[in-house]
Amino acid sequence: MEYILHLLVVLSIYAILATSLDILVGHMGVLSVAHAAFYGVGAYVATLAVLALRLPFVVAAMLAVVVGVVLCALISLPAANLRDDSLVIATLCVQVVASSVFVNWEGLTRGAQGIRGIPPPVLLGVSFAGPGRFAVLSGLAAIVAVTLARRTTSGPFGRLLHAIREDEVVVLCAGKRPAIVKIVVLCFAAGLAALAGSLFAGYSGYVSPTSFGLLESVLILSMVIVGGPGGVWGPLGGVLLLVLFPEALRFVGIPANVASEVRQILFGLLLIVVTIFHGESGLAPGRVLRK
Amino acid sequence: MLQLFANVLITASVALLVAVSFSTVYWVARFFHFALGGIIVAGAYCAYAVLNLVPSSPILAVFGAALGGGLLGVTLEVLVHRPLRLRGAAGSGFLLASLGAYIVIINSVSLVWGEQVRILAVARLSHVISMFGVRITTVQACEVGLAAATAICAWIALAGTRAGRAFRAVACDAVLARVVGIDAILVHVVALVAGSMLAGVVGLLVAADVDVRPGLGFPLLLLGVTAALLGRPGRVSSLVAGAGIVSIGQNLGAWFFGMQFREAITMLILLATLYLRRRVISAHLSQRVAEF
Amino acid sequence: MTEHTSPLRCSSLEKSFDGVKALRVRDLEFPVSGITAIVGPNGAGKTTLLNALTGFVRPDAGTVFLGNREITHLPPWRIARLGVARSFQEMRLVRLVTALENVMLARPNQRGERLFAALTGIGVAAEEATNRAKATELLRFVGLLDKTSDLAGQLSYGQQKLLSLACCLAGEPRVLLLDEPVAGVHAEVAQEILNLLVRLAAQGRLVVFVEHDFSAVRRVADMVVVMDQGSVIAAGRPEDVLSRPEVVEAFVA
Repeated sequence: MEYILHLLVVLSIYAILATSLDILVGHMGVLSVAHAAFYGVGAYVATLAVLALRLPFVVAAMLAVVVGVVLCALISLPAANLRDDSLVIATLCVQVVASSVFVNWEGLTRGAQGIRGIPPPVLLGVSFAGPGRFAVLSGLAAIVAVTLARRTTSGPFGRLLHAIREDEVVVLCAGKRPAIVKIVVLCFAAGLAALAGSLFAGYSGYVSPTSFGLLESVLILSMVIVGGPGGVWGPLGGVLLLVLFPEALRFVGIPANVASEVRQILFGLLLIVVTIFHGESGLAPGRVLRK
Repeated sequence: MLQLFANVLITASVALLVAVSFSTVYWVARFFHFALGGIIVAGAYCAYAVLNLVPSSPILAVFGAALGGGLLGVTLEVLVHRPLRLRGAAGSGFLLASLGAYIVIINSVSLVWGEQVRILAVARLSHVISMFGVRITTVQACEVGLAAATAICAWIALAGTRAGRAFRAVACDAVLARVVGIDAILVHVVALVAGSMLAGVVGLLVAADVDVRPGLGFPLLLLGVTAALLGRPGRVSSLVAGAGIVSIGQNLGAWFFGMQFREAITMLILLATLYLRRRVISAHLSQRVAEF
Repeated sequence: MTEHTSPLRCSSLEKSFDGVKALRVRDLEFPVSGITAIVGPNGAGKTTLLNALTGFVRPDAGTVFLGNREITHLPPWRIARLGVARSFQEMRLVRLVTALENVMLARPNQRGERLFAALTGIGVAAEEATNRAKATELLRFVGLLDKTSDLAGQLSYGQQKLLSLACCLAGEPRVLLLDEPVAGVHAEVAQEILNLLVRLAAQGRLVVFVEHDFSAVRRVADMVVVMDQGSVIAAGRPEDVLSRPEVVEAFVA
């Protein structure tokens, strides 16, 4: 039972990550491999806020979101006018730099060994330690995040995103500025990723650089792609598949010393197969968009 | 001081070699050939395997590395790139598939040889040469030599031979090249194989210089890609310049901030280039899609 | 400074691409309203002129004025907001959404397109209703009322041209710059579009369109601008200009 609750926590954190990334990738057509960087920023900021600044969890989480948004704004301001392929490479740069900072700025992050002993969140006098209670917290956060994300992908804002995905020139002729919209959406997604990061820190009690590297970014991206980018429930389907399947593998009986490699090989193969499968429709839906 | 210059030259040579390998694919197909990092690693491990079987033959190891790299490149072309092309995938699809391929290669290597660091056991290769107060190893000298040779050969090939000119035409404009009647796909495949073999050898050289580990390829890939993206498609001289700039940046940065920030510095150089370059290209109407 | 009545004019406009001079227009003043046609052989620079006037191409030299305001180096979205709408030779629409949504996208000043309003939903529903009504009106104007819920990508070529026109009108522009609005469509649709242009001009707008078909030009245009090799070689009323020897020669050569 506790295992299932643990899975629920993991699922809800990834739900926030995948849904926020889908706004970028599926709806606005901007591929990013830097999502884990902001996930990590959120985790580390929340950790330091709780441990060093002795802030309560909710405030720490809010601070994490603010820092994530501000950092993203600074990085993306010059990037807004970049062509699509250059933008992807720029996100790669951001991710690698972030990983390097997480590992090497030891004064702040304690480097590769990470930071332990993060206390579980306490809200209104109630402690959310343990999977059971934390699942409530993370579940609620996920519902709020997904709802907010839905608001940006429907209505006039969603229409604008979809237009940017298809043809920025059309948007320009309508007197609108794709560059500004991109920055705003990038920062919004980064903020949600940072929120997920603070939840992670509060739940696991331990943050380290390996959780927030390029591989993690690619994992989140795969959840979006496998589930079906640009739809409504797509990313959540991808989350379910890519969180539960490796857990299921654990029961299959692959020897422990190769489990991690086998998992990653399967994951890499999945990426290849899925991108071939998507083919021309690529990472944006070739199907009808529903409101 | 001179030692710093020597270090810059060595780094630039490695960067140039990887940049040339990367460009053989990027110039033609315009996508981020991530799997190249895997090819580099495969080359290193092939050399390692060969040296374990035939200990005293570095030449055979070189052949092994080139062969391994080339075979892997062809495999990727057949199993990954070609299906993607047939399905009409866009550049982003290629990038992700290439990432997936890289993950598969690295973990396969880990599966067979394990995660631990190994040494390429050829004593003569790490012999130190002392010249003009500068110390470089034999391997490092080979890196510089190979880089120079590659640059010259590539330059001659692109300017002097028919195949080379065809390649350059495709590099500058794949759509136009097809209209004029150059078989872009054939050019692409030949270039891919050459680039893959070269990448395999790079893996061998760097492994001989440092050590053999699964993560060998990634920093090299970043180095080479930055050098390649600093340059312009079709121009070898711009690759050389790019390699030089990246190397200087990396070594200076390492001097000030420490070696551990090398990768970050490389990426910041690339990021700065992307940001600065956008002013030169008018974004709106020259929307170039991965046409290939 | 003299008050210019012309809504759109340019002078000493120059643009080169890779060393080739694509545009070399000395002085060009469009009338206050009515229909002006721009004609010229392929490669004459007609589209480049349109791009330079709407901010998609930065001229190397020269100025473009909208009324008294210089718009030479303004970005395209800014010029669009100043009441200049344009269409493209290659159709630019959002194919995966409906015709109605394409027009609604083109409606300006939408609060719902800001993140805060999108997240909170304040005032969005009412604004959407207004925009939907306006967009429907525009579709009715161009004769696409029955295609409102069809995906733009599924419309016929002629219908897409009409939809483009409706999108241009969504911002209530004073000036319309249309690049080959009737190229490649059936004669009846072409006539429909030309009739619409006449109605728009009658409303006091300036309609400028690039065209290859002389009969269409003679039928609706008040003024013709003839371009060749980047320059304007003649400008005036169709009956005066189109039969001049240098004009005929430009097309034959």
